[in-house]
Amino acid sequence: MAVDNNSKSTDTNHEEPFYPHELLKFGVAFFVFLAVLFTLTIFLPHGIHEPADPMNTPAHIKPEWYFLAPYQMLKIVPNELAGMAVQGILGLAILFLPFWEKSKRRHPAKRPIFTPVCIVVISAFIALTLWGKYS
Amino acid sequence: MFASKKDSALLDWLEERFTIKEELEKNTTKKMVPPHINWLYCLGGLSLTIFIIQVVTGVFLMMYYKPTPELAYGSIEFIVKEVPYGWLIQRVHSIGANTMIILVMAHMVRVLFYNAYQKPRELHWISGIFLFGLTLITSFTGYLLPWTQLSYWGATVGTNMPGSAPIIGEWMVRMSRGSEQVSGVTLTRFFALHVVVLPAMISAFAGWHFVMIRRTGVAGPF
Amino acid sequence: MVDGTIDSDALSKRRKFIKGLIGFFGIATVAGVTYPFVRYLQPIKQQEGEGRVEIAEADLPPGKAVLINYKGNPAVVINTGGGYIALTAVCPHLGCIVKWQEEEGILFCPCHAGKFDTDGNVLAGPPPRPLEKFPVRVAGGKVILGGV
Repeated sequence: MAVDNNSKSTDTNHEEPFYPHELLKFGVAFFVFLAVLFTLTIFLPHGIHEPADPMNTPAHIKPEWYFLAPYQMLKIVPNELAGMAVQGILGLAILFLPFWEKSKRRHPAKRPIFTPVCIVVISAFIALTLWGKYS
Repeated sequence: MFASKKDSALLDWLEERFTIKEELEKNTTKKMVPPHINWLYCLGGLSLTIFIIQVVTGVFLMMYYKPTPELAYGSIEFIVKEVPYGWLIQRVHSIGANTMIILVMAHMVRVLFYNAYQKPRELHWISGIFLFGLTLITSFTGYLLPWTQLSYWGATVGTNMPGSAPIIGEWMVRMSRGSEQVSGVTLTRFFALHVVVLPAMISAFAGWHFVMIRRTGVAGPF
Repeated sequence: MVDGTIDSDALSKRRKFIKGLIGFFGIATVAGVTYPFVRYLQPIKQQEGEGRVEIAEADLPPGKAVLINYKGNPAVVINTGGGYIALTAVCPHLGCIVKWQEEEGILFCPCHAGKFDTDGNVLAGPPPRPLEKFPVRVAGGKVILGGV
């Protein structure tokens, strides 16, 4: 069980029933999630928003957090088109990941190139997001 | 329940009519999954959960929302301030959008580090990336709807992005806005995308995603 | 109707023809349906001749600027002291609205700190091209853009 090198669809190691094992686990996760969501709903500060004014751009507008990383990247790459191209290539690389990264090893510790690359990319995303937020 | 020895009367009643027990068993107690499935395997299911919450709260918001530049802001204000529990539905929807993105991202990272996208699950990954993209576009279009300063200028800057692309860039900007600047035309355009087109596309891709995961089963832990 | 009266060769030929026909009409239909939908989504052009804007000279003392809506787009009209200048107020970088800075005599974009002089030329920041200039004339105590 330590290393599952085969990734066949009819996995022979499927040996626990979906119910009760997995389904009950999900039931617990579901209610924990609901509790977190409703706690956030009630305790996160309510923003006060002004109505839109097409003739006046407010100072320091920033996109929502999930767009901050690409936004900040476009900001630091001097050529806008080059920045867009890099993002497009990155997007395609992620989309077609299973077709160019075909390692059979599954454990992150056994993927000496892929795991560090992943960590770098994710860290870069987080760093750009923070940079965008605090710049 | 679930085909135990003491089946409920309801189950027996259904069984007599369209033999439900076998089908139920096949999908629960007789459906085998890899052992040691951990909590991280809940992220995909939770993404679906929050999507359903978004659909439900979104439909309720639509009952008072008015997609015009003159009325949009006021209608959201009305929902939040006047409609009983309107504040709750509006806030669940807006926080839910952020939560959905976090969950989908977390689910992706889990799959990434578990190398769960390898053959035969390449299409699971690709459909997942489409779902992620659709989630982002849905958030982007929904963000304009309250017609606040932030949403107006967010939409302006966002729709300007393709403008630097050669040849079709300018055309894409104008097509996405429906006008030179972000305007009422943009608002109704985004509204149609946000409430019909994108949720329908997410449902379709999610359906595909789930059918495939049923076929192959989940990739177990290491 | 496979009763021997039609030989299989003719049948397969006929099927091939039908397939081709369906394929052809399929593509034609997709193209024919796509075109009106794409056109439907294209921005509707403003009528020519519309968009004459008049500003009273008294409302625009030297050193001041006003934002107006000119042909559906924001524009800025500046009284530089030496004359009136009209420029688009839409920053060519990301579409934000530029602001007139009286003290420095420049236009400033709040999004990425792009700076323009009163002729619309880029002084600093990321904007890829100058601000478009519109012809202005003064008649009867009014600053006039557009129209004839």
